Amino acid sequence: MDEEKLIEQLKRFKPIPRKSWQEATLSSFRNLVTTEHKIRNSQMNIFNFLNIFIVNPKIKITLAVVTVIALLIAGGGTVYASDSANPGDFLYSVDKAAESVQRTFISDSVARSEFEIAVMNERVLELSKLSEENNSDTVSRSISEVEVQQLRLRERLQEMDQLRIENKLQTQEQQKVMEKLQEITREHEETINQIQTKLKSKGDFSNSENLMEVKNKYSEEMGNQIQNFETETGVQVRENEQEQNEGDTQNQEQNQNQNQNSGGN
Amino acid sequence: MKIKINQLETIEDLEEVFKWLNESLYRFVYMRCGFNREQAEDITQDVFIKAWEKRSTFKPNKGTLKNWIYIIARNYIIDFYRKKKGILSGYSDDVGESVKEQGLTVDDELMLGSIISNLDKLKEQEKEVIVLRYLQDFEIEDVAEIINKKHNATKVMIHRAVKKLKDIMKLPNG
Repeated sequence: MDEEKLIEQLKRFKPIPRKSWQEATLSSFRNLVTTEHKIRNSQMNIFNFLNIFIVNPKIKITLAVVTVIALLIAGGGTVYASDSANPGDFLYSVDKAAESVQRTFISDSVARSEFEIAVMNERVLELSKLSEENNSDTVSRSISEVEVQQLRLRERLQEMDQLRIENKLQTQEQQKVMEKLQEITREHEETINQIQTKLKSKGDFSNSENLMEVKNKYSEEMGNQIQNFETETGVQVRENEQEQNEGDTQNQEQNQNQNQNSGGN
Repeated sequence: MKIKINQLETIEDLEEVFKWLNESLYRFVYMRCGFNREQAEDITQDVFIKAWEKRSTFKPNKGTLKNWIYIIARNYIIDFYRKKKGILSGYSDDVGESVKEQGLTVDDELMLGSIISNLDKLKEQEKEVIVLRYLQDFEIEDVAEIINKKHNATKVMIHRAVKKLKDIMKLPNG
């Protein structure tokens, strides 16, 4: 086969996206623009209104913020209906697009990290639901989504580290996020262990193994993030765990002493 | 009907651009991101949203809208691939399905499947220029603009990439 023939063959390869994805994406664009317009219009209307009736600038700003938040909550029934969609569902693309849109509106680094933690939670819950069904492909896709979200979360956490180093973020603010992260990571590890057991019992060993790798990487990454924070700031995120362990040890020692005393008697 | 849009100011523009480019952009992303259908759809969607967010930075006198969107896609993929290296690379089962959907004879199907799997053995930039030039039908100057290289350098790169693909496939010259 000469070069020309090779290129001719190559040109025949035309993978196309699904029609349902195309429709869902177009639909999500309309929400994107509608939300932007609503916010822009509401800001103008609010300030015009407030200029007439309210003089105090603090009251003006508070009312404006409350109204914009209400509009964001009210805007796009489709977007919020799609929030319970899973990979493979028609509305899942709308759900993901809505998340992308939400990301663009969050500028604060702490809020961004908290948002990604919430999305991570959603991904794990989706995986848990899907593992109940007998569709290995959607489980595999869901595991990939967990992986991708873990990378996003890591990026946001690294961003916070950088801002803290540059004195643009308070240590206490980051500490709250790291504590939430530690708690949720523990919950996710337990959930993922249960999912793994479920998959093995259904004979889906490939996904079960893949999930184990993803879980190990996730635990390692989040553990490293927490450890780095503790090392760099001298602030303990893991106090609760240490206190718990110390409490357990004390209980054990007390029990042993009691047993020895009762044995003596 | 060939659509030529060179602005992205209103929702109608965004919809028209999407209808015009979504399939070809999807193809580009699909070839560059592990041949994974769902992944390609997600990334393609993100690229359009990113283009919309950055619409005020598009300068019609500096290049075409199509090339500008492909540059956004390319940068997005570079970032994405850097983060996911080793996780998404490789030939996925989706490719077999996609090849079957082309409605070819069995022999052509086998040949095409073989070409695509060997394409994945090329370096990223080699694969990229082949995809842009031959699967996306860009002219060499457009490929050069997208990958940010000079015309002649791009031409040489494309020629070498095709030759390397032939060598990998151990095809006889002629």
